[in-house]
Order: sequence, then C-alpha cells, then structure tokens
Amino acid sequence: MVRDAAGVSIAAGAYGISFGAIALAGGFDVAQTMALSLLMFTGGSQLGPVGVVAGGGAPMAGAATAVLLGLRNALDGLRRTELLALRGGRRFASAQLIIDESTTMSIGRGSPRAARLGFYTTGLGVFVLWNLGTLIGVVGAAWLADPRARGLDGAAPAASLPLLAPRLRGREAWAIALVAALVAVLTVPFVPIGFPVLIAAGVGIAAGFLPGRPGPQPTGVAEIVAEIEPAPEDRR
Amino acid sequence: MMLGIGVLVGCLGCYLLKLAGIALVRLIVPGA
Repeated sequence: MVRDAAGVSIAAGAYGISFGAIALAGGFDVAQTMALSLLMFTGGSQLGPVGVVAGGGAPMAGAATAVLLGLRNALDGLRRTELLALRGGRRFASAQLIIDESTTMSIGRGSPRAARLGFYTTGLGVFVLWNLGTLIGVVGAAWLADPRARGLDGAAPAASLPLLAPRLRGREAWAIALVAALVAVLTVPFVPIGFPVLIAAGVGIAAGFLPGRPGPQPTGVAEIVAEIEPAPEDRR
Repeated sequence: MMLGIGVLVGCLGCYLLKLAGIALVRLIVPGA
C-alpha cells in the first residue's frame, strides 16, 4: 500500500510541476500559486480558478469555481471521518489531507487501520510532492513555457490509474472500463473539454442498468455504514 | 490585489468545506 501511495504521490508531484507553470502563465504570482497548493490543496479545485482567471474571468468567480469544485471534498470527509477516527484537534490537520487520492486509497481496505494507513501515507505524500512540484513548476516556468508540449498534463489522468486498479476486479469491470475509455477517446474531437469524461461515466452507469446483472452491489449506504462501523479489534 | 483576495477566499472556502464534511457526519451517523 505504501508503494501505491508513493506512486500516486510521485505522479501528483509531476502534475504539480505543470500546475505551477500553468498558474504562473495564467497571471498568478509565485505567492498566490504556492498559496493555492499549500492552502487549497485539492488539484481539480486549484485548476478551476486558474482556468477562470486565465480566461479573463473575475478573481471572485475563480474563487467560487474552486469552492464549487471543492464540494466533493466535503462528501469525502463525510465518508472518512469515523473510519479514520478523526476526533479532537486532529480533525483540523487531517481535513487538509482530504483529497481525491487519499480518499480513494482508504476505500476498500480490509481494516480501519489499513484505511488510515492508506489515507495518511497518500495524503502526506501527495501534499509534500504536489507542493514541491508546484514550486519547481513556478521556478522553472520559463523553461516549461508550454507544459503540455512536454506531456506533463498527462500526469493527471496517469495518476488516476493506480486509484482505479483495485476496482478492476473481473472481466466485466475491465470490459466496462475499456469501453468507457474508448468512448471518451472517440468523443474528444466532437465535444467541449471535460465532456468526454462525463460521457464515459455515462457508459458505466448504463452498464449498471443492463438486464441480467446480479442485484445491487454493496457500494451504497450499506458499504458506508460497514466502513464506519469499527472492526471488533479496533474498538478501544 | 483582487486576485490575492480571490485566492484567499477560495482557499478558505475549500478548507471549510473539508471541515464541514467532518462535522456533518455527526448529524448523519447516530452516535458518531
């Protein structure tokens, strides 16, 4: 698990380089860019305001975009709080580590202890390397005048692969994932940026409604309650 | 100046949302 966390963190760090350069090119100065990574620390939400401001939008519109994108982290926190035993003052520090990567790496673990290990190793690893990457990106922005030309923007989707891998159990999951990926690639030339991912998600949803499938899998409320309910050896 | 304020508002908003998720669980999960 620590190896997976390291892999996710390194990929996030590489993407952080791209983010730092893009933010600087988008009109943010060094302090503002570093503040976004250190204080906001939630990849997608950071790119929101950068995109808005770089496109000529008002700074407060960028802030609103970041907050809207950050809503998912509130839901992540909702799911993780009890499982991670977030209580007392530790909640304030741990809250900052609630990101997509740390949340995903804590899901589906065999025990609350393993979930905590996944959450903290990934959260801390990504925090350190993401901010280090941002700093390198800001400093080297002149060299990285076009990060996309060097392929660093591809690090973001690449970072998602280790997160997805534990979920790809069995041929059906692989088939759905491959079809969704193919649909996403094929729709890229025809729809606005961001829509291919949504359309690919629609493929997964549609597959869930196919006739002849077994009953609902434990991925809803029951699973959340099962995660929240501490294991007997963890009751202290 | 406005950009700096926007950055701080966005950072604060995102952090408060993370905290809100932790706080809300007490309302949703009995005994949490």
